[in-house]
Amino acid sequence: MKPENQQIEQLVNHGAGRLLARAADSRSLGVETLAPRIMAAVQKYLLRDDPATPTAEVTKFIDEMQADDLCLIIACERGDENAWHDLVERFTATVRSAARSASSNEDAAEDLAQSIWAELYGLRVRDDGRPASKLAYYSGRGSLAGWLRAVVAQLAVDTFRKQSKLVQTEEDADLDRLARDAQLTDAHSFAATSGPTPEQSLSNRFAQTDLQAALSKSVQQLAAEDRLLVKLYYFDNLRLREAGAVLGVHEATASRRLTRIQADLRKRVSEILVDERGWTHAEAERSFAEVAQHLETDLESLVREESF
Amino acid sequence: MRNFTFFHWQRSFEMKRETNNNEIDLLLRRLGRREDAGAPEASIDGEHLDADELSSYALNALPAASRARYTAHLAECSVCRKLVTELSISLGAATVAEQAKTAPVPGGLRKFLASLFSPMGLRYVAPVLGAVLVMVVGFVVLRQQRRAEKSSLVAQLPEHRVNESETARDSGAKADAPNAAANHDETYHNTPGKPTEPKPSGTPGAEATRTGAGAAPPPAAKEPATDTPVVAQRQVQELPVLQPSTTAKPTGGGDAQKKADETAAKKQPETVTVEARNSEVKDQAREPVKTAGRTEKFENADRITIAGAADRKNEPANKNKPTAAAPAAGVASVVSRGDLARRRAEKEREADRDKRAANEEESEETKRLAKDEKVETETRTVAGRRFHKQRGVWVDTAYDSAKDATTVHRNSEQFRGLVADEPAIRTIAEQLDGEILVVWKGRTYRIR
Repeated sequence: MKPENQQIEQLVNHGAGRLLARAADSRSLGVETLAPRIMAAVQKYLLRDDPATPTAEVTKFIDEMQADDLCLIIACERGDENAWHDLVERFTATVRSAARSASSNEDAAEDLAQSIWAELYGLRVRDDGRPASKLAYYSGRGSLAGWLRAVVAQLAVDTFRKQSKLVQTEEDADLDRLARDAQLTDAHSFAATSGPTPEQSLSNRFAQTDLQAALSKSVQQLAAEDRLLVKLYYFDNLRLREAGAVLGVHEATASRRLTRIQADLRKRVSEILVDERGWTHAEAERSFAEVAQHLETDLESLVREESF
Repeated sequence: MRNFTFFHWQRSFEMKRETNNNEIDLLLRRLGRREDAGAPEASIDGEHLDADELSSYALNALPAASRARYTAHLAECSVCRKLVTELSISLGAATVAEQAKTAPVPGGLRKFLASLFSPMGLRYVAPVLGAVLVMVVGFVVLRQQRRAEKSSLVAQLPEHRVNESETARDSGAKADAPNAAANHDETYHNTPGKPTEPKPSGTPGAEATRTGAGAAPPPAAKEPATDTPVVAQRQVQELPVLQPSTTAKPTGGGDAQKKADETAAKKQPETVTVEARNSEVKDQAREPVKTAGRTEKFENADRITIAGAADRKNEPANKNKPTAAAPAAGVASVVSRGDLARRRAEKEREADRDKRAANEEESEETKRLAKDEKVETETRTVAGRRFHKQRGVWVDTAYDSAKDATTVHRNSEQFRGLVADEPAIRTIAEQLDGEILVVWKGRTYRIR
């Protein structure tokens, strides 16, 4: 075994001892039971990205783990009935609440909640004959309540996908058709509303396409966190407060960041249009203004249609 | 002109920037609508994030390097992004990263000052501090005025009054010093519980009203004359004690007041002269004062008040005595009568001032007590947390205004999720009405 691995193992063993000491109820677990789980978490969240992680960071990582929740889950995995009883008693409300959020009605929520407990208990059997329990995936980094919510949400998505693959209703087909038509309409909307010449409308359409392509490329070139913020705000239509919550920043910070991103994107789009598409700066500026004006017109007409 | 040009340029630059941002905003919204319509599900290595990764991300519980990796995945995968969004909103993840990055934890004094100048602190602390400042300034000014008046009064004192006062003082001063000290200590340890009632005006011995005197009891029966020196000395000590101070604070004033006693006693020997001759003073001093919440302080005040009244009553006798004692003092008696009248007027003025100051102190103390009582009744303990009601908001004693609070509305999905995870918060929300600021497991929640 490499010296580094021995060092990590030692750190993990010591960390497991500290974790057991700070747990309110260690459920008669020992260091040898806990250490493999902690090692897996360290590998997954630290060493995978940086094999030379400093020992202080590994120690801090282990000390920030949820001691009681991890002991509870491991005890449940080992078949401790008292631990199962505690798990169900403490988290029934959490699972039910999460199931209600992910479902359209009470019956579906109840079914989902029951499925969760079956998944957790390992009623499904793997190919090798061992029970497939989701409990093995809990690392102890986040809270058990949060993990359970995530499990419920994922199961809800899987269930919905399975159900939607089976049957595509007529309604869905109509929606798909409408979406395709809307895209085509967008492209021709300028010609339909303002009445330019055919040459002008064709030229404008190419300009729009170039602009959108340049914008798309600029978004892809953003830093990951900036790109995530753009996707959350513009693609997922979240409010700034919600987008900030995902990123772990305050709403005001998210707002300032978005303003900066908008300025950067505009600058980058202009550069792409000039360098790669052969536009002039004046053309790029004019194109921005024209396309934006047309988009505003589209939005206004959309709003008028919805109000009728 | 140059400034106007610069301002105009700056304004037009800001408007252009705003226009540019509006344009790119519209373009991004259009891009979002198109991508949403036809974007394929992306994933890293063909897999989505598992529940542990999703929940750890939503809870900000990941190291920076792994978080960056998952951020890159979420930027491409709408499915995982949606799940993380739902988890973040339902878990109400606090902006731990933001706070840890921006400000270091301040030390004791800085934290205290920060809490004072926080919005919540300013709302409550600033007016109180302002009122305290006004009171302190008023007290200092009043005290200086009294000192100035006292010194002018002493300067006008004739010599024969000084001689008589020394004679009266020697008879009982030393023997009664402990009693006097005990009396004025008791004075400052009394706790008045009733609002001020108006005292009769023009009473020269009304310095004690500053300590919160209330109703003046009626005069009592006379007592034997043997106690006169003792009583006189007690009153001598009391008058100077009460005069310099305009507050009724019980602590820390004992020694300082004793020194003030001695100083004032030396400066006003004419007071000793007047009081020493009143055998009726001790009679009224022995009368029990039956007012609720009042003790020795008000007895003393009343004693002195009555002494002052007796003083006026006995004035002619006092006036006559020096005249009788000095057979050849026809001219001297005329002079002393004029002095007496002047002194009486001055004493009346001083008594008025003292009475006003005592009334102010009483009202301040009453307000403070009322506030304390109000604070004491607006405290509750629920689920092991202690809450004070402040301006209609139940505030956890562990609340730190420097930290952000997550707002949760009752009957919202976020609230339901929160109380599902933390049933104790449901108990708190049910037992306390209105807005609640509760600190739970290191996070602050504002429940509305």
